[in-house]
Order: sequence, then structure tokens, then C-alpha cells
Amino acid sequence: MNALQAGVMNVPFVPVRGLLHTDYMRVRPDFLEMRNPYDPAEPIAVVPAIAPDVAVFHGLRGDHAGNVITTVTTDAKLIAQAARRVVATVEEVVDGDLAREPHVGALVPGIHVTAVVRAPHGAHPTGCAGRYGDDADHIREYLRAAQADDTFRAYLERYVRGTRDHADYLREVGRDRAVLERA
Amino acid sequence: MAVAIARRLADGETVAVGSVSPIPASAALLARETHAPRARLILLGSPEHFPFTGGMQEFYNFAMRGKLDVFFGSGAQIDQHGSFNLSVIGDPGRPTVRLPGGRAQGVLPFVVRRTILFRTNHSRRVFVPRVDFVTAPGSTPEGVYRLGGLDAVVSDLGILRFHPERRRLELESLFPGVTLEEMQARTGFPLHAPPPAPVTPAPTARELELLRSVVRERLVAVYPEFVRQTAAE
Repeated sequence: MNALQAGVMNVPFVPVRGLLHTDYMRVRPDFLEMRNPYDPAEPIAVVPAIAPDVAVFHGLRGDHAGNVITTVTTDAKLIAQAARRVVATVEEVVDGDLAREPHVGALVPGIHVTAVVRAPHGAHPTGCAGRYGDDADHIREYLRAAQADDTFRAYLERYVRGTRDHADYLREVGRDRAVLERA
Repeated sequence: MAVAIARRLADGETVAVGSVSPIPASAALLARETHAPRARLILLGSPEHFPFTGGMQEFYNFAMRGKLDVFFGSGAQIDQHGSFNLSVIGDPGRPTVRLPGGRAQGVLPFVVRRTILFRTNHSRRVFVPRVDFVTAPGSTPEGVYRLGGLDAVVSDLGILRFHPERRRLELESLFPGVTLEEMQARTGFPLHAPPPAPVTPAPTARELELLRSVVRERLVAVYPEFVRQTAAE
């Protein structure tokens, strides 16, 4: 979280509370302990900034200017500012200006967004708050498949490589009806 | 377990529950119905119980400023020194299991006043002499910024409390029907217990009734799978 904040600010690293005397300091050679330059008695952990090339997040609604409404619990706005290119998938694309309308949720201003892609049920197999819940059966299927290389390959073949597009994916996971019913 | 945890929360406290923690969530909701009506609850993953508008970033910054009284964790491994592991089992270079615990538990136990760990399946696999990986240390040397630490571990057998001076977990109480021998047999380090071992007061009829009615109704919106499974049992 702090590392993304550093990415947003375009500074190379950031001090972080905690981490000292945990094994993260041992297994992450890029996590360093330094002295607070303003109070040398205080040790503090520093971590390098994260500035992704591309960020992808899912939102509830998007407009043609790139404004996106997400649920309030996500960090889409943070990620969108840290990354160079930003793709938002959304449940629906609407006409009008989401930045000027009252809304429930968090607004990611279009100035941070490169592309908005309509993808109903796009959070599947996880849920999208207020729209649909987690697909627990599918997550269980994924967990079983992820146990071994061959079953995982079969999973990818069926749901990822084997589906032409998002609509085809939803048909394969048995979710196309839910989308049709809402449309 | 939910009742034992609920009783550790005080009125007016700010209590945050992580995203896969239905037992602490039940406990916090129960505490609000009983002795802590003014407790402020943050249930991560539930927009209705999330008082921020700036995402998890705002939540973490809130915590970093020392504004959380209680946060919960589980623990793939918990050791006698009060350190716990929610990161990797085995050699960190070639782990047998990888877990997602570092984001919250690498930092929050330093700044939250009290961390309460909950753990079903009390066993030697979980309660080990020394964790494979320290996600959060039980204690830290003087000089390290630390506003709080581990309060207790609540398992399905009873409560182990962290003693800050002796820097170790000690038995606080056994759940009714559990013997010290049984808990010791399922704990991988020596249990320090006052003789005779205290017993946790059993849940009252009212606590159980609230858990099965109003708490369950509120919880179903956040943890539908957990409510479905516990209702079936």
C-alpha cells in the first residue's frame, strides 16, 4: 500500500511502519532498515516504490470520458495513479458524465484511465458488491485444479484459452443466464 | 470461540475484522449487541461496515496512526514467543504452502493496540515451538515503533494470553469440558498454567440466542458461505 503510494508520488522508496524483526526483512533483500534521518534513534523499514506498467481493475459503471465508479473498499484510484496505463473493466458503460452525477461508491476520475471495457460479470469468479456474490463452486473448482500442473493446464485450456471472448467464458462457467436476466 | 472473543472487546473501541474472519466478525457483532453498543466496527470486504471512502489505503493509513484498538488474525503457525506465521510453511525459498498474510499482518500488529488471533483445529501443527516464518513478532526490541501487540490466541480449546514481560503465551483459561492434558497434548510447546487451570465461563443462553438470531442475520450479507455451512451443522 505504501509502495503504491510512493509510485503515485513518483518517489523511489517509502518508509513503512512495522516489518522490522519480521522475516520479510530476511527474504526481501529490497526491504531495508535505515535510521530516521530526523531522529537517528529510530530504526525504520523502507521499501521501493511500485509503479506498474499496466493496471487492470473492475468497476461498477464507466462513462465515455473514462470516469469509473467502483466499490468503496477497493484501491482502484490508488492503483490507477501509480500505473502508466490503466484499463478498467466495468459492469456497464453509461452515457453522461459520472464525475458530475451523485453516486454511491468511489469515483476514479477519467484523467487516470486509459481505457474502459464493458464486461458484465467481469469480476467472476469473485463477486462485485451490490451486483453479485462470489461463485463459491467455481472457486472450489479452481482450487482443486490448482493442486497439480496437469489439472491446472486443463482448467486454463477450458476456461481461458478455450473461450473465444468474455461472453463465451460466461457461458462456459454457467453465468450467461444471470447476465441475460439482468440485461 | 465467538463468545470468548466478544468478551475481550470493550465498549467504545474501534475494532476491525479482516476479510476471511467470520468468527471474529460474529464476535464483534455480538459484543455490539451485549456489552459494547458503542464499539465501532470495520468489517473488511463489507461495504456496509466500511466507514472510509478512500479504499484500503485509507483504512491502512487510519491504522498506522494508531486508531485501531483491535485487529484479528488467524495463524498458520503460532509459537510460544507469540510470533505468528501467515506467510509460508516450510523453507521460504521452497515453501510447501504460501499464504497471503503479509499485507496486513506484517504491519498492523505494530500499530494496533491489541491483536487477537483465532484458530480452529488447535493442534501441534499450528502451535509450534518456533514458526517457520515470522510474519509478526510477539515482541520487538526497545526503540522499534510499536503501539501494541498480541493480546491473546483464542482456539477451539481455550484461550492463551500473551504475557508481555515474560514474552510468552500462557494459558488464560480452558473451554468447559477441555482438560489441561488434552490441550497440552495438542500444543507443541510447554503450556504455562496457574494451578488449577481456570475454565472459561460458558456462553450464556442470551449470548447463544443472539449469535443464532441477529448476529447470523447481519453476518449472512458478509459471509454467506460461512452462515450456510454453520447452519447446516
